[in-house]
Amino acid sequence: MTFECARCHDIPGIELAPERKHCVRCHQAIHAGTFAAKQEHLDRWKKRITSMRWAPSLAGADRLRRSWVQAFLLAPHDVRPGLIAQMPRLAITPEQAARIAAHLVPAEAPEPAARADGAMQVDGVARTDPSIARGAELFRALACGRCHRFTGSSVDDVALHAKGRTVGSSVDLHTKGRADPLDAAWALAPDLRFARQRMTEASMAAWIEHPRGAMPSLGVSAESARMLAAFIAGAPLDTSAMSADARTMPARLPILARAVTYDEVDRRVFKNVCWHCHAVPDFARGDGGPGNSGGFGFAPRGLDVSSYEGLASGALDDSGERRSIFAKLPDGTPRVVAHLMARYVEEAGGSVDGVRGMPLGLPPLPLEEIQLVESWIAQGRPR
Amino acid sequence: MVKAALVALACLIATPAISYACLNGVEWTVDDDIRMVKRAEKQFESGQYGRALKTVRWLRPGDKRLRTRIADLKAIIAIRVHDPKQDLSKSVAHIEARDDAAGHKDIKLYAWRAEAYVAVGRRDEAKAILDDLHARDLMPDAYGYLALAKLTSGTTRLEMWKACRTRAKDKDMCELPKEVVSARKAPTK
Repeated sequence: MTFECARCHDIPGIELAPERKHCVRCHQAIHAGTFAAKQEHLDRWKKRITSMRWAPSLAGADRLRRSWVQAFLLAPHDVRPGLIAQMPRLAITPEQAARIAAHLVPAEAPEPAARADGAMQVDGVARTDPSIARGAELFRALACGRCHRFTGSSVDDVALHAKGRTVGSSVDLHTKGRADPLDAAWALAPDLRFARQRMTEASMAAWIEHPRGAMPSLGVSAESARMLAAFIAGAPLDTSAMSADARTMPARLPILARAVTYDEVDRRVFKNVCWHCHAVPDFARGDGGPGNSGGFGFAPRGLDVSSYEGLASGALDDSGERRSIFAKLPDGTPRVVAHLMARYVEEAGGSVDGVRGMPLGLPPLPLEEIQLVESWIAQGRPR
Repeated sequence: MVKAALVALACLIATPAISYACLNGVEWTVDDDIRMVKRAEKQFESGQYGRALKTVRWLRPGDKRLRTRIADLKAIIAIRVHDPKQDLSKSVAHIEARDDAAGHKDIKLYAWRAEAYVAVGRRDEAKAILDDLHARDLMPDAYGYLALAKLTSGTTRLEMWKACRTRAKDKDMCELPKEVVSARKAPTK
């Protein structure tokens, strides 16, 4: 309950958050036109609401390795390329992560014994099992790449994946019986390069044969599922694409020479992004968002970005004292800029000591927008 | 009188309802009281004090938080536009009580407290607050810098005056006695 996981996820044994508190249900209701609002508002919001339209159901989390779930909670990274939002980096301890992982994965799947052919389930190690080659053929024949990226593998097909987003009714297999199922299946499909860390090969095979949630049933036999799992677990991967460099922070762009106004930075950044979580409690039935009144396990920070005065009033630190969000850190970076830059590191599974990446759980702002914020600060934050 | 009432009614009808689709990523609010309070605060921020007071004059929101915001607005406007003949004690007491309740954590109220002290001549107390806010880079708006400029002299006064002009939407609000202007021009002579 502390982390309000049920505001995004369906979780076994835990009641869903009410619609007005449930990010995904609320966004889905808006897109379905069932949200109680005027049509003109719904039409406008539909164009703007792109993130948090889906979140993985945790009812199927028992297929995962418990140790992976725990590690992921502590250092979340981008597993699902079709989702805009990703698991936020929570203020969670290893003990809390272990308890959540144990709830989601009550029975830890046994690690498989070494295969008879001596094959290993490790990145970059070639497998000799003939079922891997057959699995690759099946992967292509079933067009798994329409929904799944498999970065670093021989079957990863960016163009096919992009096409899968829009092809719609041509994939009959994926569109039976559910509203907008292709979008859900596509959006929630994980990059399979992480599958071997997330699941055992046996779990993969069982899941492919009898999937749940957004994953459509492909009607494959147990044997085919086993071969697909062998391929996903054992295909050689090009690890150069996921080097340690991915976790390094990109260089900031230089301060702009032109004048930057508050109106511009407010329109492009503060009101466009930050305001959704750092709002005014008095105008929102006492809830100023997790970044103001607290939520998702975070203490109230009292940050209101909806006005110039709110921004200038800073945020509460860990001791409950106000501090400027523009104050320079020891390396000279304004605090708010450091938070925005840290998101680049977090997205790749890293973290920056003492600085949580913002926007929480969303892709980092483009460097040009961070440049705008920093330039505005450097120019004295003109009104 | 009738004409003014009709104009006001027309304005109310013509103004579209404000919709907060995602004030917390989830909230949906259509509330005329909120709309009017927000409008009044915008008018206040742009220095339209008379308009701000008119906007909330007949407003009686059921929500205590909104009533408090209106009371805050009335108090700080009374302080900013105060007539020396007017008794400001109630307004000052209101701001003090609100700031005490917030434990100086609501920076806007804390800065307003300093403005209130300036208005009633409690300059040392005002300066202590404003120095604190300036030192922590937490001055909420240009008015704080203007007040600090009025309480200081020399280069500090000039620096505060410049900060006021940078952060003011209407630069004219930062007007100070001529000595500041002289100091600003001095290096070019």
